[in-house]
Amino acid sequence: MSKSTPAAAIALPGPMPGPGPGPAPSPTSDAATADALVHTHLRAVWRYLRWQGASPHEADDLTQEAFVVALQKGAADLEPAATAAFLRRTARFLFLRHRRGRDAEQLADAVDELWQRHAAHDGGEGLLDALRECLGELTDRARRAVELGYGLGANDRLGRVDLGKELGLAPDGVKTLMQRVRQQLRACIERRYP
Amino acid sequence: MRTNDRGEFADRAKELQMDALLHEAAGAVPAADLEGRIAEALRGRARSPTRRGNTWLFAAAALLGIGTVAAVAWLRHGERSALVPAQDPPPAPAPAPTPAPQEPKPAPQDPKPTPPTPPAKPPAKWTTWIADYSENKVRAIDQDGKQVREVADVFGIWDVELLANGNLLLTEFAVCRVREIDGKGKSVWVFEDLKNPYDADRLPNGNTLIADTFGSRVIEVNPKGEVVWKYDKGIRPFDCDRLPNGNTLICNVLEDEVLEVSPAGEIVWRAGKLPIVHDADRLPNGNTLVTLRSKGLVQELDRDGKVVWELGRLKSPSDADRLPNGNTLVAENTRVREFDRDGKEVWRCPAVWAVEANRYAER
Repeated sequence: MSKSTPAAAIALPGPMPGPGPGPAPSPTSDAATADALVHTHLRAVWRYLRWQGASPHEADDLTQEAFVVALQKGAADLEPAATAAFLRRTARFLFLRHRRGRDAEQLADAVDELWQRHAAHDGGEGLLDALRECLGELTDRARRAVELGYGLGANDRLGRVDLGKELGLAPDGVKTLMQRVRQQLRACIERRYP
Repeated sequence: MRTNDRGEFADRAKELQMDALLHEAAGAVPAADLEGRIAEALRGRARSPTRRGNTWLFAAAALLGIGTVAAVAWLRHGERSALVPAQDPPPAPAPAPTPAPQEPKPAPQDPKPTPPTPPAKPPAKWTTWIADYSENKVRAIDQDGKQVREVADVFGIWDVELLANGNLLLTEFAVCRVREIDGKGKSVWVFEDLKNPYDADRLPNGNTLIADTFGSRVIEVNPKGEVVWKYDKGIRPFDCDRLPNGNTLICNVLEDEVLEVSPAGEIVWRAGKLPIVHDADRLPNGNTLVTLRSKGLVQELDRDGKVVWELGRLKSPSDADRLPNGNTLVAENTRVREFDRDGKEVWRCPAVWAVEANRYAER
């Protein structure tokens, strides 16, 4: 993973204030407790980072780092909901460390709002279910476009040009179609998850 | 502020969210070894003084025996890994999401794991087949937690049934098909005129009952692939079962209800207010066991729809079965667990995203 950029302006969240992670684990962060915490929260932290815009590989690395930092700072001592929130705040801090500017923070805020509304209670599982259901409501052509464009099912992911060939559309037509499909999906999941 | 409002960021956030969701629906998941990497990083940090010392010793030996350049490289590597193991972890022997080879140990997500209840007498041999949606595979786990069989490349698997002839009936949501495979993995029967099915059962007459979920119908298909019965009146079926009386039990997610439908298509029983009801089974006592995914609940309902038993605090359950011993087997997001009547966990097996689990006595 890329090496860290010193975080000057963004404060690392911490229920146990201190200069940073120390070498000794807290009494409760023994291996079993840590494993349990990781197992419980890993998918949600990873998904949160993906929503923030991290690539899958970057989300893997930042998730790993977030758990190590958060556990060192006592995340295992918190209530489960607080642990989840603390992990997300840590992940956000680490993610923004690699992004500069006020826009990045504002975008992260907007993603946080979406997370609070759609995913804070279940880590985003319900919304993913809703999306799967919404995919079934698309027309055959639109669903085919999404399947090929995103590699759903057993399909390879196609770029816009290849997707256009497959669907008989010019690249601009593919762009328009995909925008329309995404709007449809957005409307559908917002109906299910207002 | 350069941008004019929060709306622009909100729109961009929604785009990011949709992209991430679609990629995840397409199978993007955290790295399979990520849990192991984190565990290794945590252990590495806790052990860092020792590791650092070992590295220095090794570096000294290298300086003596191998040469300065190699030694410096090792030294630098050792210092870095000792100081920031989380950023540059070694490839870890990840605890793969497969069951322990010997006895079914409690999975690590329970802070105070409940050990499996020792049976009063030697248990009957059984195997639990698990459909793991995220992994695109089905696995058979024996009562000792040992994996005894695996079938991979089953795309968007939502259901697996072990048939009387030893074959498997697989429901593949993502590629819109139900197929029967033999012991060598060869397809011996396929039905594909479907739109993202969730469930299929082989019936005693040799036909197959399929919840064609996004085709909005439940169909019975004979071995020739002919649809010989269907029910398609305003449903989105997540699960269907043919009952001993010939009726069909259907989970209709469109109306948050479970229906019992006669062969003539008449609704003869209904239980409502069951949001995202993923599974329903009619029990021998006439009650109905329902799985409410979004609520994290499994409930036993009597004929009046009254809750007479409940299992809560589950993690996105998709399937629950009442076992012959009275326990309940539940497929949850990251595990399959068996609970006794008092709600005490007596067995578990980790999974990435278990969507169906069925237990079979050894034949």
